[in-house]
Amino acid sequence: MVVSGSPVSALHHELRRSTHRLHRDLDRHPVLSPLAGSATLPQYQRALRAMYAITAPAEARVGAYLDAHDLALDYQARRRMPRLLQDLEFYGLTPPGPAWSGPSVDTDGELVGCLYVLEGGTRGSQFIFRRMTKALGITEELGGRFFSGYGDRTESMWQEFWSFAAEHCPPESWAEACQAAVTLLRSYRTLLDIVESS
Amino acid sequence: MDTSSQAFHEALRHCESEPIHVPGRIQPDGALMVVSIQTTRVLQVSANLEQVLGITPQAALGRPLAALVGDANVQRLRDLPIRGDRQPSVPMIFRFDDHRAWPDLAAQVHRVDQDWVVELEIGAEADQRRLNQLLVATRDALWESDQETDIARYCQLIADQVRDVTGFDRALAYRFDQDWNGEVIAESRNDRLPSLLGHHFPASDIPAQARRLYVRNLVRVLSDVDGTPVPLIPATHPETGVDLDMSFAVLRSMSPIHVRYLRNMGARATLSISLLQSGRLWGLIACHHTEPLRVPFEVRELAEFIAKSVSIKLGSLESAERSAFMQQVQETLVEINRRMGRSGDIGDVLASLGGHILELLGATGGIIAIGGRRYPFGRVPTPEKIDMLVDWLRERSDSDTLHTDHLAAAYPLASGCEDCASGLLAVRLDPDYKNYTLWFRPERVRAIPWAGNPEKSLVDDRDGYRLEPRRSFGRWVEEQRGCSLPWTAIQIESAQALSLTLIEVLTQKALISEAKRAEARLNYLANHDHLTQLPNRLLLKEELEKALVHAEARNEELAVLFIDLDHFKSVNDKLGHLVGDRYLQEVAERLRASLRHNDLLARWGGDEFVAVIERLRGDEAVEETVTRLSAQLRRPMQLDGHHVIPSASIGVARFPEDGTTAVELLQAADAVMYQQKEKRRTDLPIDGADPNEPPHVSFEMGWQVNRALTESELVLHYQPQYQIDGRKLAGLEALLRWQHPTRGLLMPHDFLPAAEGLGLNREVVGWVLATVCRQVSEWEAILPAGVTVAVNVGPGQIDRDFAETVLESVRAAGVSPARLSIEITEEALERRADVVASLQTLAAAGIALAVDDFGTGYLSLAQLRELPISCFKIDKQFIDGVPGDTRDEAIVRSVVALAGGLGVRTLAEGVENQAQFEFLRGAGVDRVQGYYAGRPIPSDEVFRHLIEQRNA
Repeated sequence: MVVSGSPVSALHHELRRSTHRLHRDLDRHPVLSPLAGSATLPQYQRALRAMYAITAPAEARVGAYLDAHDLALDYQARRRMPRLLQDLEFYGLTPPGPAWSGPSVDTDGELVGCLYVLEGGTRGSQFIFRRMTKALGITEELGGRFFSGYGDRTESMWQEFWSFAAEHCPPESWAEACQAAVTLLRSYRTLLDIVESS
Repeated sequence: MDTSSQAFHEALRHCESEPIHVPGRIQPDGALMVVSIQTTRVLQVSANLEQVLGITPQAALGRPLAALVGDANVQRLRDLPIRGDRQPSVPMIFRFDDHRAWPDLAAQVHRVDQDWVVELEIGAEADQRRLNQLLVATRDALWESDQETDIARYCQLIADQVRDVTGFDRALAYRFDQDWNGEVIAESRNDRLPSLLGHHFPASDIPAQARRLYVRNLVRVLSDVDGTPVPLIPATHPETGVDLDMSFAVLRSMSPIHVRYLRNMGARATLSISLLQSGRLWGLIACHHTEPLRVPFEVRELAEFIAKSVSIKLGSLESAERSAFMQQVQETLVEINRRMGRSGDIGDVLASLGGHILELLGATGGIIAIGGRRYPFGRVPTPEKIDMLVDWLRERSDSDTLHTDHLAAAYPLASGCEDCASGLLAVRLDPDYKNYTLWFRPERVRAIPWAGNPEKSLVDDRDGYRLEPRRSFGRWVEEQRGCSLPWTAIQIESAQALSLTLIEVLTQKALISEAKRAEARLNYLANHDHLTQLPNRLLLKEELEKALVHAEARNEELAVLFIDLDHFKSVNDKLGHLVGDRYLQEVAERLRASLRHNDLLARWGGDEFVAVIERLRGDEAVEETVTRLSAQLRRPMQLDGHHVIPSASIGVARFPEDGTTAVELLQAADAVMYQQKEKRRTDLPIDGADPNEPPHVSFEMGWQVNRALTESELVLHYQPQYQIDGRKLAGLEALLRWQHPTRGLLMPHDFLPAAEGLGLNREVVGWVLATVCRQVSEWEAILPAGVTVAVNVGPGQIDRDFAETVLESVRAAGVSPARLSIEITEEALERRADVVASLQTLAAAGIALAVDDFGTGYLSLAQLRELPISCFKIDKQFIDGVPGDTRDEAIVRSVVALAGGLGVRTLAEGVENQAQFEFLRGAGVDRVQGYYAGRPIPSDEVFRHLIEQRNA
């Protein structure tokens, strides 16, 4: 059941406020920032590998929690790691091992916080996809599956996520959700730093 | 140098060589003895010794002093604190009570070489008590005057005090200038002697050796100029044969020249007190009396006390002046520092502070040279003259500072530069004159009131010219030219300090600011796109974040525009990267020009730009901005011979609806832009594309206008204008149309902007003018008298040769200029103040000028008054409202009233019905134009229309 829009936008607001600085840091991170403009192919490929090593464990944890609790979200359609593997394969790159064991997802609140980070990434992905199309000529088939996100369905799937969040994350769980989102983004930032210095 | 001034200088040298310290005589007020310190025997005495001591010279010479004055006096003399050879005298009293019956004598003793010089005074009441009283009074007076900080006022107090103590008729305070000319700056006197206040005395009045003497011996007295000097016996030292040095002798006989000088001045007695400043003779207190006046010992003591007190005061005044000055110098340097920190450009800093620095040094021009580069400010000679001056200065490598208030005298090439460089103060900081400062002063013609003409006192005797003391001390005014105000010691000293520091500060700051500039440059490069110089996406994100914080704090809206150029890839691929770069630069300029000053425009990368519109007021404002950006972009562009019409897809995201962070807003704007782009995929806007496409996208309009001009596709239609009374034809307005081969009749707004964008203005207006004039000449026979034909001219069509182009068209067609009228919009007149001259030329030739769309612009009455206008065309928007709209009615009536007052006709545009016509007639409008009066007619029908009119 979909509740009225205002609690959702209030949750959205809370999550956005909590993660604003971290999102900005990631946006400016040397591994990712070239993707918003004129990245070279090696930069693009490095970002793909980093994204796999860092995101795959998170996606696995989220998937495991959803499977275990039988929640009404078709996560199979949202899993992006298979697409990322296809891109790596396209470039002939060996998939890197996981960079960490992933976030702890033990409650619905934590699930929504982590999903917010993962799903939110799809919108940014489209922005990157269009820039990389211009800069490197990538298309969905030519190394751009991961960043093409959900394609035309990106916006509607984003709205579906908020419906899900409204149902499973009541105001008393918001702090938990925000904490989970912040922790996940912090981990991303740290792991990207490691990637950068390696 | 002319003969008279040569003679003057010769005489001066003569006077300066007079050995005034060894006159060999004393004043008759006392007696003098030279006594060997070792043997105490008397070696020399004045011829009047007997009058003073009661012992003849013969009896005294060679005898021990004790035999003359007794052992007790000799012992007291031995105990005197005599400081050494040639030091000021020390007073003592010779008492004779235990030796012989003789009154007490005041004595002054000092040492010269190995002898005592003992001076005894007749009738000296050695009244210690009186001395003490006077001393206390004088000290108190000095304390009181010590509060005074103005030198002239202080000197006045001192002159009063000295006269009071000494009882002289006149006491003058006298100050020396750099060249030792003196000026009376304060005076205290009774009516027995005339005033000399403000008078100048030439340096020759007190020759160099006298000045040297005055520094050593602070007080000189002459109690009677007519007293007969008394010689010494023997005249020279019996053992060494030298003349007695009387520099410190109180009774020293004065130079006969000086005595005559004093006589001529009307003085019988004189007292002169040296005023020193930091050990240098600063001035004198000179006292004169019309009668002989003995100056007792205690008064001399007081005078010396005053001299010393005043000298200390002068020193402190000078140091106060210096410290006040140095304070100003310091403040100036701090300010220079501050401004160098801000601007980093020496030129800028000197431009803003140069005036202040000059004021500080009392100069009117300055040059600071750093490492050979010169920074002039204020009034300075030409660079060539400076080159020569610096060469000359370099030759004279004797000193680091050179100052003169008469540059042309030392450096004749300076003559002719008196207006800016009569005075020069040069400070060099290295022998090669790479770093230096020059300070200039202009000529100050001085009228100097000399006390008598100093040059009229030369006597030519056998030894050459000699200065004869002048007989008149009346005012003799000399005009001095070619000189500046003299540089004072403190100015010279400060100029040295200031110059050094200035150059240090400027050089260091320049280095620091160079480093800062480099850092700023790096920062700039890191944050800006090198091609368009716009902020890059790093800076954009930063600025957008800041803007969002502001917007949120002030509860304002904000819009992010993501601008993506269409076809850029094609331009790049087909025309090459160089052309592509120029395309991007031009686009960036157009975008920048269409935004408000405060809006942020950045190059995101490639062919993408982002604009941030802050303080948004409603959606209309965003739409308006987007429309403006698109319109500006779509102006045709000529690139390397190719005509391109740029276009872009623009996506807008608003804060806070579409996102609250920079990233969200950018992503949202990008998403909208992408959708838009998908909707309208358009083709390459380069020559040869399909002309059936919409004009702003797919074909090159300007190129076609060009073709239209040559292929006679442009045509003119004429709309009649009528007199409102009697409806007689008053004029025709020529209207430009384009008979397009495929698109039919196009209006000017369809193609003129494109023509303008390609610089075809001149061609188009030239064609219109030539065609109108040719057609008028064809109709001349049938065109009623007074009917004019109007040509519309846009602001971009009036170039420098516009008037000539019009007159040439008129001449070429052989029509009367009175047939032609130029219509120009109010807005154009407002924007182009520079066209007034052209319009006046046309008006002078008889061509009428009408202001189109009158009432829609902001032309001021002052501008209107300057323009040779013959008609106001009231804009259609006001005519649409009449009758009925009271505001429009009022506007029409006001324009009519204004026109009436200025003697200008009125014409109503766009008149479409009877009611309007009637209202306008009632309001007093002169002429009408519009569908009601008559529609535009193709030119080939005008002739027939005119015939019909005539027949009607």
